[in-house]
Amino acid sequence: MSTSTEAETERPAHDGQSAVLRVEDLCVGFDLPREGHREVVHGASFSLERGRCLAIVGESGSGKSVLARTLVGLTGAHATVAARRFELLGKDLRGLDEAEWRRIRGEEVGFVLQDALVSLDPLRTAGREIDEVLRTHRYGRGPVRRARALDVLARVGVPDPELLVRQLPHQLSGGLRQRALIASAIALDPALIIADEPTTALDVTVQATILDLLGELQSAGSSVLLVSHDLAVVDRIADEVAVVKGGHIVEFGATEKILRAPEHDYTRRLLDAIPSANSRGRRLSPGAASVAVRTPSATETVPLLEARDLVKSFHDPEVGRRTVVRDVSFTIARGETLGLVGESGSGKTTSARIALALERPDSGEVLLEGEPWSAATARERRARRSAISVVYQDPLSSFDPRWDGLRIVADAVPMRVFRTRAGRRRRASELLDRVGLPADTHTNPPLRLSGGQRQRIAIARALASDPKTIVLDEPVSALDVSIQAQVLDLLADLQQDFGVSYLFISHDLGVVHHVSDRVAVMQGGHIVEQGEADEIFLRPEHPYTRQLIGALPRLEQEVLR
Amino acid sequence: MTTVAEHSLRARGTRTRRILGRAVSAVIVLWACATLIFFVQILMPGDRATLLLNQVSGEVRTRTAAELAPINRQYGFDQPILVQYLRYLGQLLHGDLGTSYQLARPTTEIILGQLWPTVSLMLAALLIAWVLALAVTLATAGRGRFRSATGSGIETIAAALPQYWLGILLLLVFSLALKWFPAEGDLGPRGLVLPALTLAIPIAGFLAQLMRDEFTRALSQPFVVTARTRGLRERQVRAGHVLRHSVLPAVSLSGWAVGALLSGAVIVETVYARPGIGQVLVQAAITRDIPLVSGIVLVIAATYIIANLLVDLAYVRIDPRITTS
Repeated sequence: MSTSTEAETERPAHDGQSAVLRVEDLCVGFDLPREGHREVVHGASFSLERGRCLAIVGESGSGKSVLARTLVGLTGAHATVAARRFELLGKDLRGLDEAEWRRIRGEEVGFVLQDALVSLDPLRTAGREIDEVLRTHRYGRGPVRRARALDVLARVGVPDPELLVRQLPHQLSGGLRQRALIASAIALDPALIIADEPTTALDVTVQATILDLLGELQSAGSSVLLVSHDLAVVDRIADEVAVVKGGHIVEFGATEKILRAPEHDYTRRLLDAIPSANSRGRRLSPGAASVAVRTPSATETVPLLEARDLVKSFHDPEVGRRTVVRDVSFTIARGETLGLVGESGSGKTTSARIALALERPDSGEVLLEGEPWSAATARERRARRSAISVVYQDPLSSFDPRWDGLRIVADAVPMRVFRTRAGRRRRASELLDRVGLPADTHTNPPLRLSGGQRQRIAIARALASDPKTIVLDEPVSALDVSIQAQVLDLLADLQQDFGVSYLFISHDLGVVHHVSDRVAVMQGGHIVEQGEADEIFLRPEHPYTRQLIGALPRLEQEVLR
Repeated sequence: MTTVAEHSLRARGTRTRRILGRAVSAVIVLWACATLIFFVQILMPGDRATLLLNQVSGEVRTRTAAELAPINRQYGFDQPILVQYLRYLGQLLHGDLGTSYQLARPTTEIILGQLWPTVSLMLAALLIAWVLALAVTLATAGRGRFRSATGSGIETIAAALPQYWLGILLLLVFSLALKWFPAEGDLGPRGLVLPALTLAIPIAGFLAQLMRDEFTRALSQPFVVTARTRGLRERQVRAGHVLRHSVLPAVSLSGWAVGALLSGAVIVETVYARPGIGQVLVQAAITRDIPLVSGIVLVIAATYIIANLLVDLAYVRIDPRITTS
């Protein structure tokens, strides 16, 4: 064994110095107490040259995150890692002990996880988090480390590093938070930066700036390994793409080739699943043929839902009163989808809550089927509650964790429709079948279901009262691209079958363009532009809309041109 | 745009406001306690002067008006209730809790004389409880199924042990059989060990259960992965990041623990025949020495309020989110 190891460690000298990462035939498995040995990465081979960016793309459960963590030796005590070749900067990583791995982590490899709100210690200031990596690797005395931290923060584009080092993660905006996390990862100038879904929790414009930052670091000489579920996102900075499915790398090559001329079926399917202008009126997930193009009934003169000049402000201890919704007006016709798009804090969700009459507007009013809704008394509203329902981004927090899917949906079936418990359960079961939840999972607690299955339950619950309008608040934002595709297809089918209207809220322009008949763009509480979806996306008039579209990943922009 | 100076000023401002607010509400709660105690005394069945005379003389009988008049005048029982109440509050402000019927000495003096043995017992017990809980959590939480199960088993048993039984058991084993510690009457540090352990073990069980839950939860958070990717040792990850999260609920519970320690002290002081507030309280209750009982109750309430104030300050130090959100 010793001879072969020596031979392997010598080889990089002949390959030249440019290879940061060389992996051949990497297998990662776990020894589980009950199931025995289970392999999750099967013979992965890829390499990454200095100053390049490799993207590993796959759905959740594909093994991409395990792969990323294997590169820093953090697979846990029960994992077995085997490879024909596994080298970082020419150094063999096989059989490293814990102390050697610890030196590599932070010093040679910087690791960035998604959503810095939970990836940075919420009880520590950003400055202390950056200092931790410097201190661990004995960078120098306090003042030296402090100067370094400020320097790194300035490099990742933080406007006021002196302030940021004193702030806690929850005091920072999503973009600044992610920059602080990246700063802590690159504080020691690692040769390799691994970014595991670094932009998933971010708004489209912020996402673009973070990707640009990774691109800048890369042109400054770092190599970047980007892990993502979204092909459109990696297109912005990746030089090479490895597509992972079920622990296998099914396709590996230059980004251009993978995205423009994919060879593997699965890659094509991932590309098809990206919602955009092109995908309007067609199914995103493989299976049945196209979705019939809807024709919202223009014959009715009274809109199903109408918001008139809504204004809403909240008390904010820092600035006094903060107006979050200003003069918002919109209408939704029967069977129509209105997309409400904008960044976090633009007032989308508050507008939706007012439409649902969960929040009372300071002025203005909401009419439901032409009758007063927001101005009605709670008692009058209760009788008409069933006409409008809602689906949230994170269904789990809106479920009783002790209830199973069947009970969650049965609970929402109105008493006046089915008087008996058995009847309501039967109706719930029908609805769960209709949304495509496998029958054997109807009685599983939501914690044991996947994100897509949970969202199906939430949709079934929204349908239970037989509503005419459903408010969908970021319904697919937490889902992988291919699961998102299935859920969007399901929503299209249900609209077809039940003739419901959707108020569809999302920060994802591609999704909004795909589903919406009309679109309203929100910024700072205002609707800055409103109109037919194609009009808005192809001929945006307001500068903010143009800015949003400019921040879209390249792949989606090409579609628009 | 916030500047650095504004940021630290605002943070300090919020913190000061919060501490002041808590201090003011602590004073209000203490005043409410005192008021409640006063009116309970007034509303208790039986004439206070008769009760007093019976206690001092040791014979129980009905007293004549001539007998009662001087007592009523001396203690002010003949004054309107409002006047009595205001005088009571005035005395409280001067640290005067009234005079014991039985012992005919100022209540404040009696309590102060017995306070230190109890306070030292409670502080020792609280310290031991925290040390035990931290040790069990760090040794067993998030360290595989076997160790976690063992740890939580120990905690459940510890939390369920009744103190009177635990006290006698420790006394039998470590004092009478092994003769490691004195059985009773020793007020020095050696004599403190067994009573403090008796008080501490059940509390440690409760604290450790909370710590373990939170420790396990925090250990699965993404920031722990981030910390590991920085090259930290597992020990540093646990002690530096996870532990801070896991002690938060236990810190909150420590306010309640002080209350539990006070009531436990009554039992433990009896079992180990230690002097202290607990002993005095039991005696005073048996002899219906109302001023003494009231005084002790007020002191206990004050201790509890101060403990919760300290818990609050500790919490803010550990979780800075509170003053910055």
